[in-house]
Amino acid sequence: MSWDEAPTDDEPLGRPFLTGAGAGRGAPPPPGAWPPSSPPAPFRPPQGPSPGFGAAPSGGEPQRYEDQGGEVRPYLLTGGRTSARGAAVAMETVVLATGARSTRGPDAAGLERARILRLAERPCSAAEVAARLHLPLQVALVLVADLVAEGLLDATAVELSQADDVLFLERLIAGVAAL
Amino acid sequence: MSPHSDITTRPDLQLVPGPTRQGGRRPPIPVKVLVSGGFGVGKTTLIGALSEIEPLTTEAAMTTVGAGVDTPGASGDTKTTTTVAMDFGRITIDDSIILYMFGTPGQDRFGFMWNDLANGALGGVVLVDTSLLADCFVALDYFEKIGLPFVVAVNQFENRHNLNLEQVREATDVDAHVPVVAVDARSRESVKQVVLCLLNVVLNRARAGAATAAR
Repeated sequence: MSWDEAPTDDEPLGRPFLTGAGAGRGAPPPPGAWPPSSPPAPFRPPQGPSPGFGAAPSGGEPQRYEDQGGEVRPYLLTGGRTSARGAAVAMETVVLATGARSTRGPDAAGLERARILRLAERPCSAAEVAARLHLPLQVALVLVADLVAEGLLDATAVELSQADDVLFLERLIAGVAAL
Repeated sequence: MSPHSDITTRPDLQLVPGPTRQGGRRPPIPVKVLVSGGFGVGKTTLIGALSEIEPLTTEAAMTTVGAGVDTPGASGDTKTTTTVAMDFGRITIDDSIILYMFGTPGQDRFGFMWNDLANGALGGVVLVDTSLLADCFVALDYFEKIGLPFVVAVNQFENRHNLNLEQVREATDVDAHVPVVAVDARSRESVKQVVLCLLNVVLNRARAGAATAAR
């Protein structure tokens, strides 16, 4: 996963939502892991997604996956959900940004949500979202479905009647022949 | 009191008006075509020949419930998850239709993911390497089983013309109405003809269905 907008390594990361997943796995925190052993640095607003959920349970040994050369566990982006809040989205469902603004506060998936909306300024499928943002397909499907449910994306799914729609098929054939 | 009056009194239910998109148009309609066949038969090459973008890859975690495996113990809960890579390409037909070609892992052990893929698919292309003919049987069986229209496309590898189209038809034992055609998976024009062939199979079926319904 590319984090071109993520803070650099030497900056303290305010991303406590990551820490929950590392807790209780028995691995010692890597050098520089949160929390720092030295007195805490003055508060700096996080540049990535803000804390919103998944605060570290007490007594755990939180760690940063970035420090281990890993990446954010994808399912943290969906809060562990594997199904959408709204109607399900298929891999070929085409989405387009509506231009509406989110009323939701920033959360763990804020960066990915913003990227999806930017990508969907032109029509693209949920599978393209997954491929271009390097997200597992199921994660992309959930995030896209959330954005559709919130009115930030319009979606067009396959119409199951298209296989029986002679006029539609003739238009499709003419279009392919003209390629 | 109108039944909808509470919408205006509950700020959390109010819609946030955004800037209107140019023309306010809907997203285009997707059309999904599957490309299946054995490993290394040239599915991604075929998709790339017609796609307007470099074929993209997405990883899908597929869950299977111990299909075909003897499960010791009473629970029988042998859910396992496998990650498979799917390649796909995109062809914009016009302002309102986008054709997606999804390459499906054709190996037997990925058979369980085909329900997700085939759902909503308009048709399939079964790509065949005549030197590894049996590799396409899983795809043929599956498309026949779910009643998905398909064509058999025989990839013309150089110096590998060991079976002609009639022999492939005989060996695959497909229905008489299933076209068996030659394709050069690297050639845009050749792949285009295969897709047109498939779409005409779908169209003929739709016409036949309409005629039956009218009777």
